[in-house]
Amino acid sequence: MELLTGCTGYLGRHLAARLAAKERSLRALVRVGTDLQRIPSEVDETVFGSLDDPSALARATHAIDTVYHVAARVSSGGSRDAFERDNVRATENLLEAAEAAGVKRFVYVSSAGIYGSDASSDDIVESTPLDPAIEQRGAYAWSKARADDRVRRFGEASSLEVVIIRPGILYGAEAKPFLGRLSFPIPRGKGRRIVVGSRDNLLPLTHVDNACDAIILAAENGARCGAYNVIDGDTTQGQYLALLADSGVQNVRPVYVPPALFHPLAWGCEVATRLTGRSLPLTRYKLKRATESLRYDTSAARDQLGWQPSLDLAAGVDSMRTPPTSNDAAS
Amino acid sequence: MALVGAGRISAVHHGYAKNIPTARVVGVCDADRDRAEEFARERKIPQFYDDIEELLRKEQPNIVHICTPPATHATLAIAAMEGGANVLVEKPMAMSVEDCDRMIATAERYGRRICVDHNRLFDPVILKARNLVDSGALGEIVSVEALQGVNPVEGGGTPQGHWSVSDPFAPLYNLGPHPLYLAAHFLGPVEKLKIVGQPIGDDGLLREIRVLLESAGAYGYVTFSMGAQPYLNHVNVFGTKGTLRANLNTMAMTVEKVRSLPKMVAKFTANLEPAAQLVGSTVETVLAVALRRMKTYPGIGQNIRRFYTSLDEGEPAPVDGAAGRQNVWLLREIEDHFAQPATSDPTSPSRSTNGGDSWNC
Repeated sequence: MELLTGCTGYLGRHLAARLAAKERSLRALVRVGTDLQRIPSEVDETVFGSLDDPSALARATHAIDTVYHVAARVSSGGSRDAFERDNVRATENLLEAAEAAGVKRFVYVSSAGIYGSDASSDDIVESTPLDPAIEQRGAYAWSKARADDRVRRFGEASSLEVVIIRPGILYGAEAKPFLGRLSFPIPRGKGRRIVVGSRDNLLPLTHVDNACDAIILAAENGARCGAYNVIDGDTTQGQYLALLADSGVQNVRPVYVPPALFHPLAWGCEVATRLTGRSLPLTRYKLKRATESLRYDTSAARDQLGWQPSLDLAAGVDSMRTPPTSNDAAS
Repeated sequence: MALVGAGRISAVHHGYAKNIPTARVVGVCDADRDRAEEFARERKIPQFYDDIEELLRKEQPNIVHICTPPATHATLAIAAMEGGANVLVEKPMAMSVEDCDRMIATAERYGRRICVDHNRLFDPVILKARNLVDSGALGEIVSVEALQGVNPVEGGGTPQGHWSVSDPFAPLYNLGPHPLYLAAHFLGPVEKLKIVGQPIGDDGLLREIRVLLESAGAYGYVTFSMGAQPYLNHVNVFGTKGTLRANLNTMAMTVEKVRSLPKMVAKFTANLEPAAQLVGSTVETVLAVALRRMKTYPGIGQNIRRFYTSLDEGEPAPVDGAAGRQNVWLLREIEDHFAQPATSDPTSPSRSTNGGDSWNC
């Protein structure tokens, strides 16, 4: 039996379906009070409890071969403490419970956004250092980098075989279309949006189905303590947004604006944050990171896991015609 | 979400729940089918039922609000949780500690949450008081007074046959929960209680009750009075560094703190400071009324919003089953005290109870 955390989330829901298609029997750890309609029908067993409840973790990991730890706090809101609790400490608790229960494999879903920015012109490989200034990018990025580091260190000292998957920006069916890392609509602009950065910037996109393939392959073929970048390919922002519009998924007419024009605003936000003590969302560092063009090396995933994107960009965007589900509304 | 009970308080719940962006009201259920139908029609609720099982099966709500007379709370809440819903149950949580235990056990078994509507904990003035206490500004809490009266206007408007006037103890179960949970909130878990008061009055109703509560290192004094007018609705919290007085009728709070001022000056400031605070509170209230920001039962709205958020976040409910259970235990202790023949012997041995020790006089 395999254990999945985060089955009510976007990636977890898709992963549950893929695992069930492979006839794996699936147990899910879900939070007490979870809307039962949000638990995928493919889940065979449900354990109610939180990732900070040792007894729930013991019940969840009992007689499990593989853990897929997909759960994470992803909302932009929430304090740093909340992100640390839900993304870092929760992961450590699950690692410890899995080790104690004699679980064989632990697949952790990390993020491709944790690397340092000054990767020069080289492609980002799995050994590229983590971003030393990641705290400046917000609590989510910080917590994912910290958890990734903890998982790797834990795996090095444990009998538990940990494997880390680092997907990019997830997109696919049943999701609100991603419309650029720093972009906002022009009021009454008939779909026009300001998109900060060049149309030629590479976007690290990962289709949700491709991410699921990599996660399942990681459990089967991943090297112990291995980490794998999972990015679909070289897609530019311009290509992606044009395809979204052409395929009728989203009426988006991007107006690309050089980041330099936003520098004064970002600087102003930093000053205002310092003066008022209230954190404003834009900083020069965030602007830089959100508008850079990075190429990821995915040869490790291809060579060691046997992964390759089963959906290309055109097919991936086409899958987005399936609209978002209403699961996010409590009913 | 769905509503069980199509009465007055259910309408208040509906008014708040329908405005929560992530929520959708899917149905209402009442044993009186006509009443459920009228309630649904007036509020454009898509479905109505007279059977909770049918409601649960067909609508599969994630949250069910139990807004029925308290004697039915346990059965309905357990059915709702077994049917997959989390429950928000009106106060008191149930009519016995045993029923509370059954509800809590069901929640644990099915991975569901219970939230009890101890609404006044979330009234704006009490939230202000809670923030102040939590900030440590009052120091260590040594004593709490909670005073509850009966509004003659509201009391006179209660329809015949309403559960809250159905028997001598009903007013206690209707209004008694408020001062008890307010005092218990600031005191922490209550370990002992002492009850005095006038038993059943000439008109068959409990009139005057005083309860002394003891928790670890702090004492509470709860007054339930049908006689005192203007009717009581206050909480006073006494700490080692200051005192707060919250008036739930006027939504005003005053705070008195230890000031290192000359004695003569302090004599004036001790009066002027609360006076200034009352003027400030009054202006706030007038503005809130003028801008129509003040709604009836604001604490119910706040509790509902907090409960829904807690479910999204996987956090404990704002008022969990344990808090509801303690409240019911205190109510039962009071009822049992008056239901038993009074003893005049102050040295009579203490009775063993479900939630702690009790010593009656």
